[in-house]
Amino acid sequence: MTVRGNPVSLFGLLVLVVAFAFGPALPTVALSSSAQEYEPASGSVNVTASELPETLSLERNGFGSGTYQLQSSFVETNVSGVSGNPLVVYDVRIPELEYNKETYRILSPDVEGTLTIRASSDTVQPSKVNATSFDATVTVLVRSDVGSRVVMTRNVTVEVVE
Amino acid sequence: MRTLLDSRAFRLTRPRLRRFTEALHRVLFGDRLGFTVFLVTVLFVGSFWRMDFAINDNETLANGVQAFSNGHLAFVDPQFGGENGVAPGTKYYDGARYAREYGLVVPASIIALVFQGLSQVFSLRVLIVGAWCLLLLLVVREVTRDARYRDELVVVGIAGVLTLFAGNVVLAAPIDPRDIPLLALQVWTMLCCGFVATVAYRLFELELPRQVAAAVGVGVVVATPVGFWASTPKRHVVVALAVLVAAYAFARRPSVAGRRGRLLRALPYACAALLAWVHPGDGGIFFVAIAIVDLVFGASYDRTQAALASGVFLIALLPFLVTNFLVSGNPVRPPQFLPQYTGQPLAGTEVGAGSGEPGGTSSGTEGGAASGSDSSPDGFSPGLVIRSMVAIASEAIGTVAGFVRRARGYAAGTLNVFVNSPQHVFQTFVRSGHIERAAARGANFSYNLAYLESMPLLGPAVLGGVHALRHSNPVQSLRNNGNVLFRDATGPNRVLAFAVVYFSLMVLFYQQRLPLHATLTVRYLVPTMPLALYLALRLPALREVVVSRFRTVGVAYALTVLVGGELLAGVFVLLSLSVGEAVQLHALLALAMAGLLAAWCTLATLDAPWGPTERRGQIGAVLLGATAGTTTVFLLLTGWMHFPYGEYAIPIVDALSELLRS
Repeated sequence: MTVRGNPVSLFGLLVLVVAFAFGPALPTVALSSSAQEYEPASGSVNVTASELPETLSLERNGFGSGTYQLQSSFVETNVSGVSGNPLVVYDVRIPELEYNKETYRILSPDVEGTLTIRASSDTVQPSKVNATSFDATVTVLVRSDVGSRVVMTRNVTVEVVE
Repeated sequence: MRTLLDSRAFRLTRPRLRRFTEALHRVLFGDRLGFTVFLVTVLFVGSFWRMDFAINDNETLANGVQAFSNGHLAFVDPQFGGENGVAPGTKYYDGARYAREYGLVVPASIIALVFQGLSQVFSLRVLIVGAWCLLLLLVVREVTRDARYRDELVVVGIAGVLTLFAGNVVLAAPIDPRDIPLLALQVWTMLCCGFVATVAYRLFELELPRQVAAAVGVGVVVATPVGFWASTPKRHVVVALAVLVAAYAFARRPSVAGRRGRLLRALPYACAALLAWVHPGDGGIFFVAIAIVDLVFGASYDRTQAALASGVFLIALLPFLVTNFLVSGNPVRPPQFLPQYTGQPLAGTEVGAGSGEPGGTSSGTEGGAASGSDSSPDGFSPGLVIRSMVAIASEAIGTVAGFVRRARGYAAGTLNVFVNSPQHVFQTFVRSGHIERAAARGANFSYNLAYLESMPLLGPAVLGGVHALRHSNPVQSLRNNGNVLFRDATGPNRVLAFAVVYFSLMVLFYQQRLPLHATLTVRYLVPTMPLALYLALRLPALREVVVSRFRTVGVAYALTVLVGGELLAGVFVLLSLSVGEAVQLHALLALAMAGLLAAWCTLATLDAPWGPTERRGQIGAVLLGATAGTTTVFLLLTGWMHFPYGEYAIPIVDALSELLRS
């Protein structure tokens, strides 16, 4: 078995041809666009919250990293009648720690039924954690054409776990 | 002029072109293997290239590239950063905004122009993906050159590369032409990274077998944090390149005679001058280090050599001087010494018009040169020239004095840290953990590693440095007959001296600011890391292992990266660790490996009786491979998993990254 010709030059030529085809000269051939056409917080949706956490815990990070992190919590919502791209937001606030983190989902019309949102969490600097528990609020909100609307909110306690 | 061009001597013929490309290839890569080292390295760092900003002071540089590739030095319509292009490091002078580090901005601007031209005809994204696949194909060809089933392997390679190319093109999204300045900067630092590996290969090739030297050359980028900074276009990789070029020149010099030898001796000075264009502080430190090594350890200077060295230095300094002159009217006042731009009033339309002509601003130029006299063309007189030269000289003295004052302040600060807060030294070099000072300045999780944690080969490097110093000529002769003789040192001794002097100076100037937020792998000290690897391999026990058990080292390395890396990724997914925890786990693993390897090196050097004799070398080889692999795993997982930002240049990596992070 022998390879004739110079594979490197041939491949280089192939790259040039493909790059030319996808280039500006042939506008009909285009690369898939990663930027999806979203208009977040538009349209409308019916959302009910079925499950909110009752307590949260703030745990010390391991491996000597020293910071604290709010353990992941989730809310369960029921979504129906989506039009446009409304947002469902899970918001966690701990006023004493100046902690305020929103996790959101951008909906599209094909979403229907149960939607679980797991909170992404921020780290908290150890210098701020000077109590064993803090008051917090967890809220589910909807952002759509009619602005921001609270679906459900609850006051919870954050326990510090060393 | 016409006769010159028409004459036979200057006609570009095919053989002549081929000879020229061959000579260029030899100068840049040395030999075929050097070229392969370059390819492998660029391929590696390209695999985690993200076409976005990792650090916001890169926005200044991108604005600089955008301006310069449109023919301006000052920003006209900066598109990156905050309002009006406010970004850390943006400078302000005489109503205009400037970038800094023009030694990076100018070469990147040339790449940006090429990219802009190409994007008129081709899809830039497909070209980038294609270039990366082409690198892969070239590597396949080079690696299989002497293989037994060469043709079969090449066919498999071609099929693989074609599949990869097709898959990437399907996933690829077009590049916004406005991102070209950033991409150009990244491509420039990645190319420099490739040359870091190639020059390292050529340095090690002087002392080690070729295959081993090639592996170590690639290792300088993939098994140290140098690779971490490849596609984050800051100065560190470029400084590392200058350091390696100087080390190579020092190592080669004694064996090269004649005109080439003289040029080789002047080469470090050219690097110093070009480095000043990138960053005057790092350029200054570098200059002092090479000057000490060259003057103390080199042959005595004759008049020709002195003239050549200063001539080369001054010519290489020209870009620096001209840039400074065009920016502030003072050729020795670099942009870094200008006030920070924080939204000061701009000279509106005047700046636009003044800098509209290609070649840069003219307003600052006239202001500087024609101070206090009429600037009409016929007012030219020797008196004016002398007066403006005196003015420039006095400003130069002022800037240099300021520079020295700063340096003294930094050095005093460092000594103060060593005496009064040794915990900062510990946090910088040994164990980071949670650093209060970094956290207070915005490091909201513990992602800043210490030197040893990011470069576990530092342990053997210290041992190797001490060993080499003890056995170096000057110290030996001091012991034997009480005389110290530095002159005409051998190549390895010069590199040793350079490593020690440069490392000391870098620590002296940077320790007072460390540990700091956003340094990740102690990035200020990254240029010293290739030299640390060099010192590690000066340890006879380790050198013996890498030469005679090369295959074991390679297998251990491959297993660590492929199996260990995968296991570690699994651990991260299972424990759903936060980024701070993940980075600190990497740090602890690196520390463990560093400890084991350093312990092995100590035992092997002392020739202490332990364990089965015949296994000792094997254990050392495994430890060395695994330690190097630990750093590679760190680079790959930080590149693919821990720090998500921006879109990967190679789209298939996007899918991989999502898989790892899901």
